[in-house]
Amino acid sequence: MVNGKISETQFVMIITAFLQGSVLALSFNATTKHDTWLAVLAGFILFIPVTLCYASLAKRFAGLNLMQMSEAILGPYWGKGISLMYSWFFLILLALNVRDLGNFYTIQFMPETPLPFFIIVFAAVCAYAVYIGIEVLARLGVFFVAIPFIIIPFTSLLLFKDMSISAFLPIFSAPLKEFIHGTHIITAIPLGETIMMLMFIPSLNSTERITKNALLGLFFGTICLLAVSVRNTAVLGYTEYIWSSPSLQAVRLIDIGNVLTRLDVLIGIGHTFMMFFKCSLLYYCVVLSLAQLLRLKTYTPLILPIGLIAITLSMIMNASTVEREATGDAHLMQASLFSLIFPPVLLLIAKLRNLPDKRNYSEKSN
Amino acid sequence: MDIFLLLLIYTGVALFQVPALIKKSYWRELIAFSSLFTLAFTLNLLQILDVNIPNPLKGIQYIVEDVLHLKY
Repeated sequence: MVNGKISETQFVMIITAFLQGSVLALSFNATTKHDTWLAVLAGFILFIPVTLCYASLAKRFAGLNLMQMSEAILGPYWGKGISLMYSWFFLILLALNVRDLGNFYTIQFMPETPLPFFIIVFAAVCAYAVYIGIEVLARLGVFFVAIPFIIIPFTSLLLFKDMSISAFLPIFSAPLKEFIHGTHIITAIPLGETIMMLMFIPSLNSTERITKNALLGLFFGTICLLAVSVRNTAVLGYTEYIWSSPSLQAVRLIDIGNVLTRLDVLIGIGHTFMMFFKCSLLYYCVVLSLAQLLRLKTYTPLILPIGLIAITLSMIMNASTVEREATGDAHLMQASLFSLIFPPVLLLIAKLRNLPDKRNYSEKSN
Repeated sequence: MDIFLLLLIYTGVALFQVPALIKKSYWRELIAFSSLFTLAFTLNLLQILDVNIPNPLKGIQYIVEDVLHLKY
């Protein structure tokens, strides 16, 4: 069912671009305020063991994706249950991310246009990307990765005169509880979503150096996250956390001789591209996981129905910002369950059951 | 009007997808497609008719906060 080959470089790029999808316009700073950069660093360090665990799963079960792994580890019934939960999780992530993009447009750029318009058009483009396949997406990733790596240094350079070191002081002023909360958000939501990389394992050319590649992708993604949070805090200072999109607000301040102004459109473009990449990957994960769960020969018939369901879900989930804030913690716990708790548990069970049984495994693959 | 548009879109999707599946005699895929398609149509129709569809995250919130008492 899965066709297409992803090279090692493309794999790194996929992870980086996926992380960058969460970076450009979103704010993770409502809880930790000007200590966000510390929370990002702490989240990165805490997430390294989890990535090692993903990579170890991928190495142990080379050629299987997350759904097949959970079936191999837990047996057909429990494995299917876990797979179904993962499909649900990817569907929720897809709906939330599509909604995020719609909100971004309606709040920041075109407040008069109805929200469903953006969501439907965006989902249709993602559906097409999933239809033409993962290989094309992986090749696109190499180009998309460059966009934030150009935009972030460029805007930071132009904003250099507006930055002040004192915005970071006093360091560690956030209460410990809030710091832990913020670190948890960063570990589980932008970083933890990289669990989706386990869905591509069968498409990889080789899983030999997957540990190094996954860590490299995580590292590049975190650099972007860190750069954006440092830039925003340095420019906006304490006002950072009152904006719905601090990046946009920071970049709006660029004014070089009344010529280079309104550069926030760069953030808008970059965010659209990266969200397209991220949503397409999540879309692919939902469709592929359901197709594998139902033992279909091809995943293409599921693309349109899943897209339609995701559009509706994105409209009914978090109908308002208030509701979104209220369910934020619930989503955080759910994301931690899927990205931080299940994979280590799966790995532990696989170790205890001595899976994969080398003898059976080689018979199966023959 | 809205319902008419919705029917138009869904008919289009069905006409695009179903004949190809029948031609290749992918029956399993056809069943999967039809059930998800019906689910999507029901959800969309309810939403257009302004029926209040429960937010799935609210259910998760209930489990996380009221049953498991996990909260910051």
